[in-house]
Amino acid sequence: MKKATKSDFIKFLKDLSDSYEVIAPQKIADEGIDLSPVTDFNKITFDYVNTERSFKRFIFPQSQELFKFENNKIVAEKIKPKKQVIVGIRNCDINNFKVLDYNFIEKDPVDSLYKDARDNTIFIVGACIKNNSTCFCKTFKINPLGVESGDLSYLFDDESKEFYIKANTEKGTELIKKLKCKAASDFDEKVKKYETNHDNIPDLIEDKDLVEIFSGQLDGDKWETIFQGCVNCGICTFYCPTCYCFDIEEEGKFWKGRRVRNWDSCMFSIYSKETTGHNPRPTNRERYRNRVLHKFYYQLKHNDSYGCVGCGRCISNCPTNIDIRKIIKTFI
Amino acid sequence: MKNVYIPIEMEVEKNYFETSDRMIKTLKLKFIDEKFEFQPGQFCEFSILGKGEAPFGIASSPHVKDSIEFSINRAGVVTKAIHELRVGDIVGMRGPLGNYYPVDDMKGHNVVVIGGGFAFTTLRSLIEYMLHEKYRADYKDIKVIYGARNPGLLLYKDLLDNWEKRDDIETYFTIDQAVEGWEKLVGFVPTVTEQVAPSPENCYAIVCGPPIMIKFTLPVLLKLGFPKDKIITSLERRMKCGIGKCGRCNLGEHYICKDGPVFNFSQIEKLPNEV
Ligand SMILES: Cc1cc2nc3c(=O)[nH]c(=O)nc-3n(C[C@H](O)[C@H](O)[C@H](O)COP(=O)(O)OP(=O)(O)OC[C@H]3O[C@@H](n4cnc5c(N)ncnc54)[C@H](O)[C@@H]3O)c2cc1C
Ligand code: SF4
Ligand code: SF4
Ligand code: FES
Repeated sequence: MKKATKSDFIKFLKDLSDSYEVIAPQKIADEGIDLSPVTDFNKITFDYVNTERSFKRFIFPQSQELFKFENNKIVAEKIKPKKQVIVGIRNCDINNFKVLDYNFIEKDPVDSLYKDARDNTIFIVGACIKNNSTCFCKTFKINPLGVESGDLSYLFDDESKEFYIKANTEKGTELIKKLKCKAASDFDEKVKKYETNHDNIPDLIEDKDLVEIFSGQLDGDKWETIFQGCVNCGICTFYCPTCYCFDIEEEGKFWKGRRVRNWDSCMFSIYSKETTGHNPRPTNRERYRNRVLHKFYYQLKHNDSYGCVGCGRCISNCPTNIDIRKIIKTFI
Repeated sequence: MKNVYIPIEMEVEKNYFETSDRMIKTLKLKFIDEKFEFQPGQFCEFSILGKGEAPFGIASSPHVKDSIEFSINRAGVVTKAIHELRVGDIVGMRGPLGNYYPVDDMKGHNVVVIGGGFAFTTLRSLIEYMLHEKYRADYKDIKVIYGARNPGLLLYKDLLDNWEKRDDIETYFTIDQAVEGWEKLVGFVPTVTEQVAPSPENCYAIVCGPPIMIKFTLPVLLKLGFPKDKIITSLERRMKCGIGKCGRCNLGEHYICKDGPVFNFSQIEKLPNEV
């Protein structure tokens, strides 16, 4: 455990940029504070509750090449994954690994594109000091401080203006050696001090068993109204740190082209529409139900984890003000 | 580590019209360098570089080792390109994917196979599997009920004739409306099933066909006393990755491409009504 001044910490990140691409929170015109590759280290900011988008797109890009082809032959090439450091991740967001790792790595077969990106990334988690009215991470037993998460984690102490930094993995232990600053003996004290900052975050589920609750309500009246207002724009799924659905598409022609995967959304009507025209999820009702059940029922059945981390992005970005917290409350 | 989205290469050996309406073609494809074995009921992602990929059930018998067959209905972008393939062309294949008919659990049982329309592909694979000299003794009586709108739409006519001549399989072929020259059954599959289905005692029913056929055949089987876990079907869903990653094909918590496509009705019953 170490404590560093802001300039020590920025210097540390800058040194890392010799061997890694550094991705950090910055003010981006029109987009607020968002994660983005750093070109000017002075632009890094730590003054935000959460970044506009989660870090998901850096390990599971919105559009990703699966392979190239030429003259009807697949071009064999081993794409060397980029080494990257992502700094400023919140603990809610990094809990998306429970869902993404399960889907792409733990469940056979391994998705090498995802795994390569994940293995070549260093994750630095920043403790939340403040929170938004839309935060509900505690519902999923996620601690907003998250000092045990990521390869490295840090807590910024407002009073001393120092970053308390802690290594949580082997990678992190190696890395923290490069950080030139003092050791921190009062780390635990600081953590205690900031815990109370988050007493306002609700736990909507407590110890209730969602599998039991939803298994009796796969159909029924409650579903008849909650989706109303949803225009199936899909924004909620695109912002969501845990959503992983993708489409596979062709670019180019057989003489030269590539196959790519692009994020997709179960909220779109064509998503499940079959060639015959038959659509097993014909209306908003089924599509909205699918999203809710995946997050609070199917994922629990898959690997006993929730499909939501309580980041609140789908709430603040929905054009029609649909609030997933209300949906949870409707059913439990 | 292997990139699981890269298909292996196969060579087109045959590509011919299977039905009189010229909408369905059967393709025979030869393995080149890499090969795989499969079980009846599994499917593949068939890939035409520059056009895309689409899933199709394997129609040939698992005993044929150097090639596989598909029967493919022309429906859109990929299937049109498949219909245009010529002998010698190279295509991509990912497979075998998904689970398969419970051929082990079915041992020692009578089996009734009920099919409709061009969903007969993997049923052909299953029947050929059970009829193989190595396995035939594992199964008791085998009955096949197969229907199409008209005689021209029945798949695999030579094979059907062949089965009719054998004494270790009972066949019932039916068309929706009488036409001249047709001497077999006339009537919808559910009706024929009601008349000729075997006793539910110690018997598996394997049902594949258009949704409407399934909808009306299921109650018939239940009325006859078939237990739900011995009524088996293969579900269709829009698919992309075929390996349980892209999320596309879910029905409840199941990804049809991986946990399926083969399910029994006691499993299906517990899922949201989204078939
Ligand atoms: C497990 C399984 C087995 C199948 N077996 C057969 C078979 O033996 N014979 C046969 O003719 N058809 C079969 N189908 C249906 C077949 O996959 C679709 O007709 C085919 O994908 C249409 O592709 P297209 O590009 O020509 O159509 P388009 O309508 O142009 O579709 C464009 C894209 O949408 C996707 N798509 C559309 N509908 C479907 C669908 N129902 N399932 C999966 N992907 C879809 C495809 O990836 C395709 O690339 C099967 C489907 C599944 C899921
Ligand atoms: S963001 Fe809102 S309107 Fe858009 S799909 Fe999601 S719930 Fe529906
Ligand atoms: S469902 Fe909404 S609140 Fe939950 S993780 Fe996804 S975007 Fe965040
Ligand atoms: S087709 Fe991708 S998960 Fe089934």
